Order: sequence, then C-alpha cells, then structure tokens
Amino acid sequence: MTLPPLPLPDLDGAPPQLPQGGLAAGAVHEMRGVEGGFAHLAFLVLLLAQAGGALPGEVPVLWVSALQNAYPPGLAWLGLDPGKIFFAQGRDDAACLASLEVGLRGGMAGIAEVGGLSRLAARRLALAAREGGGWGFVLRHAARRTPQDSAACATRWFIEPAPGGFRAELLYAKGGRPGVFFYEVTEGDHDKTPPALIAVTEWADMRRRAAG
Amino acid sequence: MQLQNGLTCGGAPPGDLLALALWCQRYSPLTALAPPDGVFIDIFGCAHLFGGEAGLRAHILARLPGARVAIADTAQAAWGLARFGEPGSEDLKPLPLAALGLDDRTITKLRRVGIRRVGELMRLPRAELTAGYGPEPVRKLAQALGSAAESLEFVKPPPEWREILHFAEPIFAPAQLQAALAKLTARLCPRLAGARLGATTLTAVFFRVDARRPDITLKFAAPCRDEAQIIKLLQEKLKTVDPGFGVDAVALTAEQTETLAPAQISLERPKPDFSKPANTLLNRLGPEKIWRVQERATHVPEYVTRRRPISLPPVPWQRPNFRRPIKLLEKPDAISVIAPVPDDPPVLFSWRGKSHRICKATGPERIAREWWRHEHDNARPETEKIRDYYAVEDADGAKFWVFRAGVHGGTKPVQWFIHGFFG
Repeated sequence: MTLPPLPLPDLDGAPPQLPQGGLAAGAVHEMRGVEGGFAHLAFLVLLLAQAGGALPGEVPVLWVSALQNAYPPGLAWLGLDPGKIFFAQGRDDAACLASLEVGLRGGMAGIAEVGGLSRLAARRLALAAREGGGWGFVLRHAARRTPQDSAACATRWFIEPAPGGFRAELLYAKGGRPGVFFYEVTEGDHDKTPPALIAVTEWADMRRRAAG
Repeated sequence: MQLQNGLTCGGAPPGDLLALALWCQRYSPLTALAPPDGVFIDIFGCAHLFGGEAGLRAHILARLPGARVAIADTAQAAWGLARFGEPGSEDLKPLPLAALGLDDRTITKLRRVGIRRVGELMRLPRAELTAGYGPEPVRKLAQALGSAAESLEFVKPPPEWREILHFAEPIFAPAQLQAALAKLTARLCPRLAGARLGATTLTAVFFRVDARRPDITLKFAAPCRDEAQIIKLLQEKLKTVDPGFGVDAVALTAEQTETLAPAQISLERPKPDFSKPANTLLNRLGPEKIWRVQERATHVPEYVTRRRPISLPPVPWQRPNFRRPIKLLEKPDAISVIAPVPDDPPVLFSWRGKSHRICKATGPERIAREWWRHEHDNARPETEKIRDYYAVEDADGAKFWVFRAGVHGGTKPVQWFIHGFFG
C-alpha cells in the first residue's frame, strides 16, 4: 500500500521545494527545535492534524518518548485525536528508537522524541520506514548542524517559534532545495475549527499580520 | 457447605470427586475436595443468587437427589453436619465426636471418660484437654467453631488450551528450548484455529529439575494465533529464562483466549493489520509502557488523562473548549512574575534563569479545585483554591501556559506557576 505524501501548506499554490510536494511516506523526517521549546512538536501535530482527511484513517500513530509524553488534550485542541494514538515510553533514546523502528516496520506512522540520533540509527529507521511505508518523525532538541547529520532522513527541519506562528527552516531535503518557510497559526475557536497552519511570504508579513 | 454421596454427574464415573467439585463451581467459584466422598463449596456471598441458603440447598437437592447437604459457618462444622447431623440442623452439640474428624484412638480414649458428643467436649477446659489427649481435639474443635484457621485447597479447572512437552533427558541449550517452544506453538495454534480462538495471554512454563518454574508471559494487543509471530516473541523473551541444571518439561498455555474469526481471502484489498508491531512493542516494553488514552470527566488538567490498555478499542477524544498545551509539566513549576494586580496576565516572567517578556496573552480561564473530593479546610476558604490560567506568548513567539494560584487579598499571597507549553 502506498501512502500519499503528507501535504505541507503552500503559498499561492506554489509547491514547497520538496520533490513529492510534501513529506514523503515510507521515509523518516527529522524535526529539530531549540532547547526548552516545543515548536517543532506543535508544528508536526498541526501538519498531521491538517492532513487528517488526506491520511488513510487506519494508519495508527505511535508516539514514543523516554520522558513525559505529549499532553493529549493539547493534541485534541490542535485537531489530532489522541484516542487513536499509541503512546509508549522507552527507557532511553535507544529503546525509543528501537520501538519506533518496530512500529515503522509494521506500517505505522511513528513519532519519537529523543535526545540524539546517530547515523546508524537514522539509517535503520529509514530502512524500516521504507519497508513499512509509513511516516517516521524524529523530534529532538538540537542545533542546526551536528556532526552526526546524515542523508538517511528524507528531510530535516529546524522549527523555531515566531510571533504568531513558526519559522520552519528546511535544512536538508532529499532531491529538494533547502529554504526557509514562514507559517502563521490561525486562532482556533472554541467549537469546531482547530488552529491551522497558513504559509506566509516572510517574517515582516507575519509581523504585520500578527500586529494587525 | 458439604455434599456427601457417591454421585454421578456430567457423565463422569461415579466417585470422580474432581468432576463433582468442578460441577459445583456453578454455585461458587471456590470449591474444594473433601475425600473420599465430599465436596466443600464456599458459598460466602453466593447464596443470594439462589434465593438464600434454603434456596441453594433446594437447588442442589433437586439436581443431586440423595446428596447430604449441610450449610455451616466453617468447613469443619459443615463436614461434620453433613455426615452426622440432622438435615437442616446447624447445631454441633449433639453430634458424635467423629463429626470433628478425630482419629479412632482419640475417640476411644475420650469415650472411656464418658465423652461421646461434641457438646460434652466443648464444656471441658482446653488446657487439660490438650494435656490429656494431645493438640488435635482442641484444634479440630476450634476449627469447627471458627476460632482457628483452616486451609482449603480450592480446585481449578485444568487449562483447556495447554500443550506440554516432556523430555527423557533434561535440556538446557537455548536451541533446544527454542525448538521445544516452536513445537508447542505448532501444536497449540491449529487447536486454537479449530476453535476459532486467539490467545490474548500466553504463558510458557519451564519445569526445571530443581523444581523451580521460570516462565515467560506474552500479552497480545489483539487475539493472536499466528505461529511465526508467537515463536518470535517467545524467542525474544527466552533469554530471561535461566534453565539451571536442565529443564524436564515445557508447557505452553493460552491463559486467556478470545474469539478470532478464521482468516478469509478477500476480494477487496485486505485491511492492514497493525496488531503485529503492537504485540512486539507490548512484549518488549511491557504492558504498562504502551497505552492509549481516554478522557476523564474533570477540569483539573493533571487528571484529565486516563491510560487504557491497547487491547481495547480506541475512544475518540472530544476537542476541548479551551486552549490546552501540547506538553504539560508533571508538576507546576513556580515562576517569578511581574504582573499588574489584581487579575491581569503577567508582563514579564522568569523561569529557570531566563526571563520572558510577554507580548500577547489570553485568559483567564478559571479552574477551581474539585471541592467535593477534599476535606473542608476551615483556615482557607474554597474560593481561594483556584487557578487562573493564561496562555501567554513571549517576544520570540514561544507560548506558555501559566497560572496564578489564589486571589489577591486572600489568606495566602498569590503565587504564579508555569504548567505547560504550546510550542
């Protein structure tokens, strides 16, 4: 079964600089964030929530973390149903990555929050994801460049919070061009509409929108 | 309660006491054997299901005509009453000494001094009785009267889904143990398939020559009878088993089973099955380390989430009415804050040595304590035990969930905490 890529909100119909027009299935994507922040996590949850209709509903999501896991009501607020997620806790990074590998190999979509990702681990995850056909996401707090960076992950992002939204820097994309994207997050309302990601041209534009 | 008779039931040969004891489990899950011809049924808390003790007695007598049934407070008393008592009587005093299950020598010795009935024995001083006739009469009497403990060994039905392999010589090489497990699985799975069942809990027990019994327990997210998968999971856990000086026998039991329809070749695209990775994770991490979540009806953020075993189907989560963070601190962390009084969001807060200037804030969302769950505290009114939550965004765009505990002008000064992160 081939899954479609996870769509990224684009600007005026222009596809983002990714060959598949989104985050490819059957591959691993790494998202980095600054120490102490969780923008990368929120960004990913918004992406998954927004693609909700496009995703085949049966693909379960596995979320592994060695520490306190994501807060389910927060996921529900962003529009991702936490009831369908398998939450797991590993002893350490190695156990988390091994669990993610099992999930990916079995065809699940998987998210792991870890501290480090070695080249070997990234390669193993990539192979597992290719075999299973789901999406793998590795979330970590790390700098833009580290000595262990490898080309095993299909994309590598650095997500920072920005006033009213996110600054998403595409550090590496297999077969694509790196670049910087700005996303604004709409305020969700209390009833039905969850917050949504909207692509904006640049920082100044976002500032103006945030102010106005 | 005690049944006494040479009975035939359920097609078992007469006198098959175990079959009778198992048959009696329709009255209570706890039944024990009283050889050669009795069965104990612990009816504590069960009699009302049959219309009280009289109803229960009638129910049994209707199904086992000729049985001697006695109901008493202790097993020993019931044993004696069923054998020597008047039907329906609960009085121990007129019973002969044999009703206490004493041996013949003691009974003869007691009879020599004129004691023939239990009532007469009860009147004697216990210390002298022990000095003259040993501890047995006093112990039996105490057991019959309920002042001494008596242990009964309740019977358990033999497991239905069990395969066992005996070895002529003890084995201990991992390869041999693996082969044994594979063989047992290959025997058990077709049987389960025949009954349209799948195992949800599977136990492999290794009977060691030194009488120890290490075991492996597998849990399944969904009923499973897939040989390859079970063998793989068992082998993964085999390294936790120490065979010691050798293993005499290996038994594989499906402790819990659920219906699993036979696999059918479908014309449509088959529905993907994710139970395999779930089973692997369940057994690798342990059942308490992988879970689904379910909502709990409370406003207190810490208590909203309840864990749910992954073998149960998912429950959809209602979208909350108010903003909730994606990461919640296990315990709220105190922050120092500059905030206008009495109830404005902070303009500046510092946490873990870093200060954040607030640009945007939404709130407050007031969450009160669930007063009905707590003792009333006279020193501090319940109206002060509140949290006012604000979602704040600092100049960099980082968003936090902070709250003010208490009210201005209350008995305690107001305190600020950080409780979560929006991103």
